Amino acid sequence: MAIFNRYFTVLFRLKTKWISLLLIIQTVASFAMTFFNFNNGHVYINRQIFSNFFTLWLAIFIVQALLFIGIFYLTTCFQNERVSGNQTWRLIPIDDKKLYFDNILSSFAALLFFAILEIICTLILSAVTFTFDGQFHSSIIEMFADIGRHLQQVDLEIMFDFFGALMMVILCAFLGYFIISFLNYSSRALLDFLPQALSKIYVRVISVFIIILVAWLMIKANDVGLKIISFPFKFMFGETSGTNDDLALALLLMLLINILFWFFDTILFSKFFEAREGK
Amino acid sequence: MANPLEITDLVYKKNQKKIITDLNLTLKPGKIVALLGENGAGKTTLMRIISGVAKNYQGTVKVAGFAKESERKDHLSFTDGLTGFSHSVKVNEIVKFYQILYHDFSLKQFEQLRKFMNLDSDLRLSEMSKGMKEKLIIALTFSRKTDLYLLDEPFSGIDAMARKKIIKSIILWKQEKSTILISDHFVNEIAAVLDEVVIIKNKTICMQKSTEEIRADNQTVEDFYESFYQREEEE
Repeated sequence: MAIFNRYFTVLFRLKTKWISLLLIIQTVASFAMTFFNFNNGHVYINRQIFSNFFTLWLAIFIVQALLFIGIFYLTTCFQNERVSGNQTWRLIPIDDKKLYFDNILSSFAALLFFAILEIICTLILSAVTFTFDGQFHSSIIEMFADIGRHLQQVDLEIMFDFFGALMMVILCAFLGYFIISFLNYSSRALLDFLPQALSKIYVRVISVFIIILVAWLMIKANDVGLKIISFPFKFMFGETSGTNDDLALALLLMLLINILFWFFDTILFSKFFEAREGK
Repeated sequence: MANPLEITDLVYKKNQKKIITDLNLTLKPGKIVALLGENGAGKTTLMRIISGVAKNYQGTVKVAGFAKESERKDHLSFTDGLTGFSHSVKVNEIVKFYQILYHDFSLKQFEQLRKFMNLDSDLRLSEMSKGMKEKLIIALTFSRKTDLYLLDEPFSGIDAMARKKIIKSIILWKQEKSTILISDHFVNEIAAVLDEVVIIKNKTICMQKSTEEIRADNQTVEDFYESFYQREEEE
């Protein structure tokens, strides 16, 4: 367990190394966009306009936060695969199954950490806007009053919907990591298995084609399987009745799909996926 | 005490091509052993299999009696190319990485080796020459206290003077019972510190002989290695 924790700490530090830089870029970019969008780039030192400037900055910052979380998610996906295939990381005396789990878990923790920092930054910017924008000030007070009223009516069903949706987002994030790893490991395993006489590009094309074909066959072979896999996604895109039972079923199926991919990835990683030669 | 390395019936295939076949090798504690062979003979592959980074092989590999990969990694130190680090990383950051993840890493030993190698701990990887990087790799490898050291062409970028100095000192850096398996092309330079020679050819170990026996036949290690290939070619 000690090595698991130590490995997690090192991986977490690696994956959060550029977080501050990302946040600075986002803050500067949102500020610049606000500046150039506001009154055609002319900012007047006027109480009314000044307060509106912060509101616009806050709005742009929130939109950009979603974009930057997406970018950060992609960088963690890339780092996962980089660590998996690197000899320096693979030489560390830890069981491959634990290493894989540590890698994915640290990426998710880094993502969560980034999302929390985004929320904190948004709250700080909201507080500034709250101070300078009278309209925003009154809207926020009204919103909190509304929330207070709604909270009195909150029942278990609403709570389940809220936490269920949150859980779905978490499971989707994990599924992304698992699927990218699966594609990487399985294609590399195929590349190592097929004869070298075939050119590398040709092998890559074939391996990707085989993966797609196998995935398509697996799905087509079993209609029930197709329904099970597609259900959580249908739920997310509002193609089901949207009842509480649907959410529970979608969550359960998503969890099963995650476990299935985790299982396959672990097997591929520990038995077939080699680290690249570190010379 | 278990042998630092025991390999039985090892077979390794990649791209449907056999790289290693029916390989058996046992190394005794406290030895310095040269792994010799032509380019592409499978020396690096063998070391990667021993250290658990090459997969999907058949046969058993035991390091200090342990067959499980994670336990094997715990009992060996392999000269890694440090590819897991970005070029902007400093030597002291790499040392921190080793300190956190390897329980047997000795900072005191590393500092001694760093001074011996004339390495600055504030240097970045991007600021280092190939030779300096190789020196750092050797220092990191020997800063761990393990049963088996795997040195894969460790002196390739190091100048002749420093190389001789390092080779002479290797014997002082290792633990008394530890074994070193070293693959290198500078056979004549490492010969003085060797206890055994292992030759890999035709995808397997075809010769394992002590340097005492070689010298008893009035041969140098280099002559023995060269004559071995000449004999093979004549046959």
